Amino acid sequence: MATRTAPPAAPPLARWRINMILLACLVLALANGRKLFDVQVVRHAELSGLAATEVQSKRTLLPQRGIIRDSDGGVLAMNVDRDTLGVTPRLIDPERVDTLALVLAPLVGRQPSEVKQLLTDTTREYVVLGRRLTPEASEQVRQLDESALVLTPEPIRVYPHGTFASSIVGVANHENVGISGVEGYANALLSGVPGSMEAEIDSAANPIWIDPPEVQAPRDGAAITLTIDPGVQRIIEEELAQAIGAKSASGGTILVLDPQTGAVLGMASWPFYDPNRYTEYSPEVYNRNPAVSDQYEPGSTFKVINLAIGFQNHAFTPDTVVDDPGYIARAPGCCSNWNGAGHAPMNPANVLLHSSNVGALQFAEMTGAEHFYQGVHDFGYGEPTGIEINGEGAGMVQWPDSTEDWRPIVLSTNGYGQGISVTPLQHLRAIAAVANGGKLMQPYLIKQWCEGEECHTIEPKVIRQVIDPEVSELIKPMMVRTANNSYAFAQGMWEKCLYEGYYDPNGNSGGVALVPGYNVAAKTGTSSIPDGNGGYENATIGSVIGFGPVEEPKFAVLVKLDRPSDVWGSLAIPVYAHVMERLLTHYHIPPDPSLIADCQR
Amino acid sequence: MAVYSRPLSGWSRSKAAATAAPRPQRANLLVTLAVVAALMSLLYLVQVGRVSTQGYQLEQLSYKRTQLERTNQQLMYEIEQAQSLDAVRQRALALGMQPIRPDQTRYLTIKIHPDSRWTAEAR
Repeated sequence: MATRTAPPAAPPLARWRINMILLACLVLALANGRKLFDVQVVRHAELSGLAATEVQSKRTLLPQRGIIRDSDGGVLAMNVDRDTLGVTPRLIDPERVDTLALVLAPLVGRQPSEVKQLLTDTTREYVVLGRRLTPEASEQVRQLDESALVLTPEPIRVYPHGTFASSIVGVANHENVGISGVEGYANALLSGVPGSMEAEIDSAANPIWIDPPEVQAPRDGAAITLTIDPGVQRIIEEELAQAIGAKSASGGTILVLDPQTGAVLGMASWPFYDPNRYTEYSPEVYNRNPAVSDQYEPGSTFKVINLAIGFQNHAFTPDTVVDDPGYIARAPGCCSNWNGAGHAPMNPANVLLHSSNVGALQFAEMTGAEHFYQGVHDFGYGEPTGIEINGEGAGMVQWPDSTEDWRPIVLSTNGYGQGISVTPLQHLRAIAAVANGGKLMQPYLIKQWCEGEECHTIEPKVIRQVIDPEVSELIKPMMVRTANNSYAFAQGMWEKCLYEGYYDPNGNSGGVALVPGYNVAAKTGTSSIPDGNGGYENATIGSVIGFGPVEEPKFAVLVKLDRPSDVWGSLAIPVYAHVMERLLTHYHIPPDPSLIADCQR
Repeated sequence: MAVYSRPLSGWSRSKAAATAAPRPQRANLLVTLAVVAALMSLLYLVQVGRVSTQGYQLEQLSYKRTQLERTNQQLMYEIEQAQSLDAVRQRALALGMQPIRPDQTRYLTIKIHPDSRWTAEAR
């Protein structure tokens, strides 16, 4: 029987070796645990924050700036996207640099050498070559198929009609912040409210939708509709540009209001500017609107207001007569008529017809300072009208109770529009009150604004009843008489009628209609321009203010020409007549055949 | 016959106890668990994949919408430019038209018979 022997026993491991291995494992485990504790507990907040910034992204969602439209729905200001062209220089193939520089230079408006320098500037990770590229330029860049070139769209504000109504609409700067005009005044309304999107993103910064992003939608800016009638605006811009050229004026304003509502139908000021290229103009041009900012002495146009206040206070009647020898002593060198000539009898109607300073002064004195300045205040002088345009002026009135060195001569000169300054809008609003039966209206430019589907319409607002309707009816024929007997023959207008004997300097014949077929009210004024050194420039501001048709006034119009070639300012009369005539045609208001003289046919 | 034997350690003892259950039953349980786990993982993967794909499509559509909105804005801008009074005037002049002068306007006064008033207003 064979015997089997037991297998040889495995040599036992030395105990110390096992212990060493266990010890090493223990040390490693402890080190690992310590690191784990450090990462998971001690630096938890810091590291989880860092991780979140890698994968979590919070983007701001920009709202669309509100569109601005005219009253016919034409878009005056809107938004489009334009590309910014950037480049990563280190990705450019050196052999293509010259070609790219030559091709890109005209697209970004730089010199090829300059573009080449930017393309080879490898010290920078990213270089902007040009902003606000035209769509055509962007397309040409895309066709280059160069991976180092990056086109990034950004929203910009554009004005499709260029210079049209630019002084009203104003400008939004390159950061889309309104800085002038309605853009500036209604910036908060137009800007909207930004939203946000918080999401996990991939390496290309696209949201990963495994965890739905948290989106707070932006609220777009309100769409604004203005009261501006594009037809009216077009007429006054054309007439103003023509007048500036023909009369060699340095500047000017034409303003049209609806006297019944206070809505601004048109507002044009020279010089015009294109808001799409506003940086090419002086800030003085695009930052202010002369129709609401300029302050000037209204001159003789203020006589209308003087008479209205006097009638309202029963200080005199249309039959009251004062002496006008052409000069009256009130202070050294004061006061005389514009031509030094006297007229008699000087009643209120003749004050307007002859533009008598001496007569106006005496009627203002009859009214007295208390009533006169209360009336001036009631007509809205000396304070901003509240029109929705940035930078409105307040005008300047020397109130007796708040002006330290006020003297009675101030009242006397204020009577014919000197020593008081007004803004064009302020003055036209006051004349509109004379036209509409005595209601001082709140002038406004914003007709409606809509946020999404919710629209708010601005209703006309009567501020106060300044004069009685009867007073208004007293003044209107006086202004028409002045227009038809004096202005219709000025500046060579209706020359044929002049030769055919229609002209009567005393206004007894009825004259001819300033605008054939219509009764149009008008009053001219000539204003001196302070030179800033206590004196006056050797130039004037010529203006005409009025309304029509008198029976049911549809428009109140102010024409103001700064420093025209004729120092008496009568050059503004034909401009006023043309504007009024075109407005009446534009609004399809038929003429009264009985108001067309034979010499006008 | 000589038998080589060593005493069981504590760990081996517990393992032996755990495997005391009948072998086929234990294997079935493990396989079932593995299959369930695999199915759940697969389901999760399919869902994640689908959500990711749809999210990507959503992003593409959103990008496309943005592009269309940009094109729309650009077209609106061009329409507004083409409709500006200056542009219309230039096109009219090019067609040989002339601006109307106020003295060329003729107004016709039409007396409407009271019975025809409704029709006239409707027009």
